[in-house]
This record gives sequence, structure tokens and C-alpha cells, in this order.
Amino acid sequence: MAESQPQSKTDESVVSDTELVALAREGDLSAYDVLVSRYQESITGLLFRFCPHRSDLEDLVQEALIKAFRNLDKWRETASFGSWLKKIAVNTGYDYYRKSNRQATSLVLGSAEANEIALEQLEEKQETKTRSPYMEEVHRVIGSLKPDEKLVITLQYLEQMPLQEIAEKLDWGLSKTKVKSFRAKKKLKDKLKRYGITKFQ
Amino acid sequence: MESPNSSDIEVFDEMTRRARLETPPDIDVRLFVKAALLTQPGRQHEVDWMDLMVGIFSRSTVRMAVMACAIALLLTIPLSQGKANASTAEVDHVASFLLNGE
Repeated sequence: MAESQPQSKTDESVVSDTELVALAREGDLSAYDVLVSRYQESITGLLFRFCPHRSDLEDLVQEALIKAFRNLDKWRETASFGSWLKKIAVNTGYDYYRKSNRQATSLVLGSAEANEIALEQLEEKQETKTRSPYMEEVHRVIGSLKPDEKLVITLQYLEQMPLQEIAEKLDWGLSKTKVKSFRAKKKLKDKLKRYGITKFQ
Repeated sequence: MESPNSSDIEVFDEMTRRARLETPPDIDVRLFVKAALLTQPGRQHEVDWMDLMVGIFSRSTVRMAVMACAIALLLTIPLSQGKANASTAEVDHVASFLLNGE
């Protein structure tokens, strides 16, 4: 006789995000696991705009999802869980930009030996990339911008987010967001001119 | 002031358009997330006997009391053993008197 399978209380197709969040808040990790399954693809897609390197991207996706779990109490049903999670992912990406800018600064200010090691690591990273050449190219171009400018450009151009939505996601205010976007684009234009890139191959 | 509108950076527009077409790698972080959440400090779980012991012995006063009891026990055992030996010796003396008449 075939044994009847006990139905999981966190059946993916039946349970809503709200119910899963309620269970996860009580410490039910299997409920959160279902939420991770539902949203990890979209979060990966968003964070890929910030970081095309697979290993770093994996870390970023994990970091965003762990951060979300630790802040589940702050989620209110006024926004969808997906949208709230997206906001956390954007902030995780922003933190990543800030961190990479600090590392770039320390590379310039560090000792010759440290710089050599860092450059070797960078070369290794460059050798392993093949999957997303255009994304790599974009990141090379925006690499010298300030983290907040990089963030606006990433959301505006790569994620195609309207300025109004960017302002809401970052709690910046529309005029501040417009100014950041304007400055970033001006810098980009100067940089592209300086390198003589007038036409994209 | 010159405005860097989209036509000014059409090179970048094209670059980002192509970049958007690239797909991210397939990533599955479920196991890593679960492992990280299982090991996070302050996580609530069912209290077992080990947690109870750790909870009890985490207080220094309890540890000192247990140590004092252990020392007292160690000091008491040789004394009681000595008394037992003395009483056994007496018994042996009586037994030999009864057996041998001495």
C-alpha cells in the first residue's frame, strides 16, 4: 500500500508571501527557503547589474537574502515582499560599490608589493571572465565614478528604472537623484571623449 | 550649461543596451543561506539538556559552588576511609582473639 505523503505546510504553490514571512518570523527556515526559491532569480538578475563576476555575485545574493531575513520584522504589507527585497538588494549593491571604491583607493595608496599582489588577483579575475563581456565593459567605464553616481547609472541604464522610482528606492528625493544622474552622465561623457570612444564597436 | 542628454552618450547607451541582453549566471544560494541562518548567533531553537547544563554552568557562582562541593568531597573521602580501616583492624583483633585465644 502506498503511503500518503504528508503535505508540507510551506507548499510553494499554495502559500502566499505574507504567510511565509509570518512563518519565517517565527523561525521556520523552510518557509524562508521557499521565499528564497521564489526570489533568488530576480535578485540575482538585479545584482548582476552591479557585479558581473560570478563568485562576487553569489556572495552578494546571499548577503541580500540573509539581510532580508534578519530584517523581516521591518517588512510591512503596504509594499509587496518582492519590492521590499529589491530595495534591500539595491542597498547591498550600493554597499558593494562603496567597498570596491575603498579597495581601489587602498590599492593606489598601498605598498608596491601589495599593489602587485592585488594586480595579479585582478588579472586572474579578468582571465576568468567570458560570460558577460558588455557588462564588464560598462563596469570598466563607470569604474571611476563615485559610488552614488555609479548606483544611479546602474539603476537608470542597466536596470532601466525611472528616476522617480530610483528616488523612492534610495529615499533620496527626486531633485537629488536628478542632480546625481546629471553629474554622473557628464563625467561619463568626458571620460568617453578623453578615451576617444565615439562609436561603440 | 551643456546638458549631457542621452544623445551625448549614445555610445554608452549602446553599451548598456547590449549589456542588458546578457543573462546572469544560474545561481542557487538556498543551501548557503540556510546554513548561514542556522549558525547565526541568537537563533531560537528547542532547548535540550545540553543547553540546560550550559545555562546552569554559565554562572560563576554555580561553578564556584560545584568546585567547593568537589573539594569538600575529596577531603571527606580519605577521612572516612581511615575510619573504616581503623574499625576493620579492631574487628581483625577480636577475630584473632576468638580463634587463637590470644
